[in-house]
Amino acid sequence: MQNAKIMIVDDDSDFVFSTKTVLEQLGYAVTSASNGNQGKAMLARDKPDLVILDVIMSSILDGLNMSRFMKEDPAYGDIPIIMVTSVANTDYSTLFPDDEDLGIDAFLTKPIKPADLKGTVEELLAKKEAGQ
Amino acid sequence: MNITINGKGISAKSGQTILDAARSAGVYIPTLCYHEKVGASARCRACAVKVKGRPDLVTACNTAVTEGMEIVTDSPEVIEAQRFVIKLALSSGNHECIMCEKSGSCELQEAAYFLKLEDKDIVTGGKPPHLDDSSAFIRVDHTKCILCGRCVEACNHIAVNRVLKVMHRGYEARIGFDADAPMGESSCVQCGECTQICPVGALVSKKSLGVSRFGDIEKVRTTCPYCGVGCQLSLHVRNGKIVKVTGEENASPNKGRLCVKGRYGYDFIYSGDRLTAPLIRENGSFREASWEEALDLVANRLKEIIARHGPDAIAGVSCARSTNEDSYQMQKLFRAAIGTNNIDHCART
Repeated sequence: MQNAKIMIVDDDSDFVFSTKTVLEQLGYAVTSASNGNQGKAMLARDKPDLVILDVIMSSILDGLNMSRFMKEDPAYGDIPIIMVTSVANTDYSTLFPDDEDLGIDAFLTKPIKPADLKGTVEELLAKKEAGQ
Repeated sequence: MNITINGKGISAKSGQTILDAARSAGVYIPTLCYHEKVGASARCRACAVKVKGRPDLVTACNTAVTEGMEIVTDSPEVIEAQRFVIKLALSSGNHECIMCEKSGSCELQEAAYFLKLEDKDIVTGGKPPHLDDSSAFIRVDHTKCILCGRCVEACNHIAVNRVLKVMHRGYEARIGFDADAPMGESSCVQCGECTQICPVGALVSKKSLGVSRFGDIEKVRTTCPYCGVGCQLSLHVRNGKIVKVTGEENASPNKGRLCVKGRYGYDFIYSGDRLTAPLIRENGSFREASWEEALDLVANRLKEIIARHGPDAIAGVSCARSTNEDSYQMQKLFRAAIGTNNIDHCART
């Protein structure tokens, strides 16, 4: 999916800028939102193939709420989500409610190496294309 | 102005934040990065609360109250957000409380207790140990740091030593000294302001390790004996011995700040070399004497010198640890009683 559309939702403008730069160089079309509510509103317009979502934004539960929203809406339920955070250790299960499937497909800890970003994005888009 | 917190009417002042108003009314809202000395940075977001009519949660530390504002601090949504923030802070480091010097006065522990977070909710130990013991008086445990930024703000804008900063990015971010040197090799002067303002056990006083957490410690408010500034401090005393010294936050002139001597230089009190009685030198060695005998001897010798060589043959150097009143009397003694202007103070140079 060379021309896939990716949406970055993060209130850290430096992160958005650097991630967008890397992804655009890889040929993706990138849009961005600075909080979950804005991200939710942009889903219908942008129809992203993949969402990169920060855990904590200005409204604290933004990341969780947006992933819950996407999971529950059939129009967005199959869009892969990469959750990104700077506060978690490698055991991401500590972040989220134990008994809830938030529809998160991958986690990356900031600072994210471009190679890790590329690998994860390509893997998730390939899975989506294959209908898995 | 009138506001409500959790449905209860409260009178608040214009310019107050939600946090100020809540604290005045005795309503606890967890905070980590907020300290009244360094102000609100809204960095940690532990103080998330709901304001009716606003779509998102707001941070209580930097949101001003407005007339008729309806604030909720105890709804499931607010508690979930606060628990999430505190859980993340706990999970992102190694916050073992048993041997932590801050246990009992730790703001993270207090928030976790309030939010009923249990050990099973938290996975700690994800970070490799990162202890910086290189400095004389301060232990830095980077794995306990929650990057609240209070120490950085205090070092740069309260103590104005400009040593501490936040370095690196994302999960690798940590506090650093100068250009990321170990604390002991940096330009840090060990004033200890960072240990006093740290909400957790990341920056602690080495001299207090293992001795400052007992329940029978008595706090004694006093004036620092070192110089004429007169900093107000608290001696933490156990079994008649000082185990820790902290600056008094709400007292002038220091407002909680201390220097390395005031905060850590209290060993002299217990030194066996301290004089406990006047000593008179005779035939090259000292013998104990009474105050009457010693003062008579000094007065007679001063009189002899004045009679033989004049008053300018005598000079006095007052001790920097004297109070202003003692220093005043010292110069009065020299100028009025002895008759010389040869009077100085060892802190002048």
